[in-house]
Amino acid sequence: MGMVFNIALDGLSYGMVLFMISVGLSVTLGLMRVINLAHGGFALLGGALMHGLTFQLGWPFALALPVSVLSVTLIALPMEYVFFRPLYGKGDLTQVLATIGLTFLMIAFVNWLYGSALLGIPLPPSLRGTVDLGLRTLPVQRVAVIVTGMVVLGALYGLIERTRFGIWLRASVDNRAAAEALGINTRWVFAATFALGAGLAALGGVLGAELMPIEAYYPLRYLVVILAVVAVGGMGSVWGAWFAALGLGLIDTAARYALPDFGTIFFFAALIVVLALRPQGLSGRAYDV
Amino acid sequence: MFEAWLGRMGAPVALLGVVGLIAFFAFPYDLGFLTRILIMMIFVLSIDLVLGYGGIATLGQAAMYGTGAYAAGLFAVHISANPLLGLLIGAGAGAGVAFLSGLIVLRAHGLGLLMLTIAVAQILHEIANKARVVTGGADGLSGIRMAPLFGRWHFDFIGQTGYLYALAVLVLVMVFLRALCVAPLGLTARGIHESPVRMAAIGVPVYGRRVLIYTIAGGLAGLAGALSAQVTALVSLQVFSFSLSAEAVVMLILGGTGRLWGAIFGTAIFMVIHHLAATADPYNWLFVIGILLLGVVYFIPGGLMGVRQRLRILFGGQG
Amino acid sequence: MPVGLGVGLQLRGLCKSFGGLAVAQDLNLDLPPGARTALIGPNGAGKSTLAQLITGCLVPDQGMVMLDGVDLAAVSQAARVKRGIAKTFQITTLFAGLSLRENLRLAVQEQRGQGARWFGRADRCPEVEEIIEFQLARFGLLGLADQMVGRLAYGQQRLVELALTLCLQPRVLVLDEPAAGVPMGEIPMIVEALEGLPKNLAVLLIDHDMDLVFRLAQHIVVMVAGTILAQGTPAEIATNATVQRLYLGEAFDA
Repeated sequence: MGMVFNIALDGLSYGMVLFMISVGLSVTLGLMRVINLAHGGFALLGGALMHGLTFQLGWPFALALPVSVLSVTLIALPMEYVFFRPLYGKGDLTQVLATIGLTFLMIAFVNWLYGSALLGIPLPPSLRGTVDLGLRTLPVQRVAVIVTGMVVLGALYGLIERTRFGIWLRASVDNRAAAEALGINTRWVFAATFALGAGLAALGGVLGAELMPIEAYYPLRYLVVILAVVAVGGMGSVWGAWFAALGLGLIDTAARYALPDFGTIFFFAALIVVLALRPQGLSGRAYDV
Repeated sequence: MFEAWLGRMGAPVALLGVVGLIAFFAFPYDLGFLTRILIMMIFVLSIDLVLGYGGIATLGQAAMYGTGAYAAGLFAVHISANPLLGLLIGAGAGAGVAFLSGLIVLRAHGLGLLMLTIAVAQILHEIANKARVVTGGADGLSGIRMAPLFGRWHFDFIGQTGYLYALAVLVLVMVFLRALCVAPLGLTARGIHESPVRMAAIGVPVYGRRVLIYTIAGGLAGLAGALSAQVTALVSLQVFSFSLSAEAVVMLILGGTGRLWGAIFGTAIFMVIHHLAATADPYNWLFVIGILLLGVVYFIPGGLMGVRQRLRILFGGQG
Repeated sequence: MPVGLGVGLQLRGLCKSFGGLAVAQDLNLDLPPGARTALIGPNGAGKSTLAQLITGCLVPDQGMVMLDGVDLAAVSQAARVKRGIAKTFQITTLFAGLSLRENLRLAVQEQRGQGARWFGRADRCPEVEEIIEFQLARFGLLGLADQMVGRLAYGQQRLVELALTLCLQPRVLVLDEPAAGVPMGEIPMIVEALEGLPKNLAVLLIDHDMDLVFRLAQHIVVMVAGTILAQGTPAEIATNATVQRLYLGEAFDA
């Protein structure tokens, strides 16, 4: 019983972290058809910045977090303009090559800055303890991650379903040409979405540092997991990414607890089963490269 | 003109052999590294067949390479130390895994396909990791001792036999692939790459042909893996790693996809730069390769072999 | 002798719907060898659906597609091509990066069952090259044989489309708007090519272009909303009041 509970808690928080990191990639993939292998790099940049602000400069966690996330969001804007705009409409191999190159540069940059050691992010005392729910006590950090993940999901839902920007975004995902014909500035929608996705990745990277430690090789180490979430969820879908992240997070965590001898086999077996049955992923949007 | 003549004579492949021999005498102390380049070339050629000719986006070709390596290694340890027999076993194992996984993987397209290829390699990685009794797990499979090649040439410490052996296999693979490319199946692969929908409309069972191409390429990847197991006398878990697949794809795209020479040049350039940059400063290697990659994408799309083509157009020849 | 040999293509009671929308309702049609039948109707009438049901690209909800009396329900799209059912495409999906000759070679080698061969040179099989030369000559394309298809003029690409399809040695040919998008000046070239199609070939022409339809067809079928509204000789259709009101008038207005 205790183990089931721990699996649920750790799996959920792991899934939420995966969701926050991957959702931006899923939406931008649906929007711009760019397979951005450098997406995990934004989580790394967020984590590295956070490490610098809290560990080196001694800023409080609560101040450093929004500053880091916002900075990554702002850094992403010119990057979209310089690196990604020329890639729209290019073949998928070109995109893979360019974004792998960009990933290498990000890794090299952080390596140059901090070396290849683990970049610790000291948690404030308020997140370090446990919270007593009567029945059992829970680590605050895990609860905070899960709550943040749900808030992000809710906020994205509100943004996409309830705002003008959301209408533009959905129209652009469905049919870019038609959206442009209606006067929607799809370039602006692309850039804003890209930056938002980068910011969420940074948030996920920082909050998930307990489970996925920040270090220079982070974007390559977790690339496969991030892509798995996007592929299983189906591109361009917030809900798909959420279901996929939670499902894969739970499966992976359960396998680690219950059957450690099998390592990540279950994670990838689940991936194969889903994609064999639904090649377009759970949300089932057609995507032909 | 000159090139057409060379092409007719099959001379480029002979030239590859000659350059290989020159390198053998010019860098007698780097044979280990040079051998790795040759093996990598075979591996990258196998990806070129899948990706450049067949148009199947893959980041999991290491699945077949690793299977070939373990199959040849285990064969050498437990059954026979005959190197040529081991190569056949490795190629067969690679082809077998490619066929079985291809049946599932090739039903998908785009990102799904990419992910499935990765997943297959990761699962094999995990199996090799956990089946410690058989594979040696994370310590790697050791104890591989090859019998002399043709009963005469021993695999020596300096790696002379290993190098020449790998060079001979590479030349044979190149001959095979050049023949395959002009054969009906080669044309079919290009047709599928150009327009799978149209291929179906002219009566081509596209899925089956994709599986066939994937299987042949898997055999070649298995061959490369087997060669590496025999020459280095070691198989580590790295053979299934994602970075091996990804780096090989980078080498291919760097050289230019859909051209056999693209695979050869891309591999040579990537590995030499890697070697030099990593020797000078291992941490800045990623800077170098990152800038190189972005340079290729933004300034010379089509890879290095594309540059040659562009120059030819520039100087009035035909593209 | 098997039942129905030589009767050509027969459609019997074909039904197909997407969601709640019926795009084919109880369609019956015969295409004997030598037929020159045109299928006309407004956009969304189900013409393309019918073509896809014939080629096996779509599976009917009910009814049968038969070739020489044999039900093709279990025969895949690729296998139907080998049995002699071929279709040209409305939007050109030729192999743009290959030469004209290579385009045709793909079709011929596949039709002869050689497409999966690993050995021998694809361009050194005399029987294959003979067929390619024959089809190139038929459409006057010999001079362009080594050009990349993507670089040809649009009208020429339409001829390549025809040549490629004829390389499959079809017995039933479905032409989906063979002249769509072709500049006026190049249309006579296409018409001439269509008039020169083999006499014993069963042709189903799907088109909006009434000039073309009345010039080529001996039999015209009018489809509206997934059903066959009328059929008959060109003269009968031209004087059919319902057809005129429902379709021809609109088409000419547009």
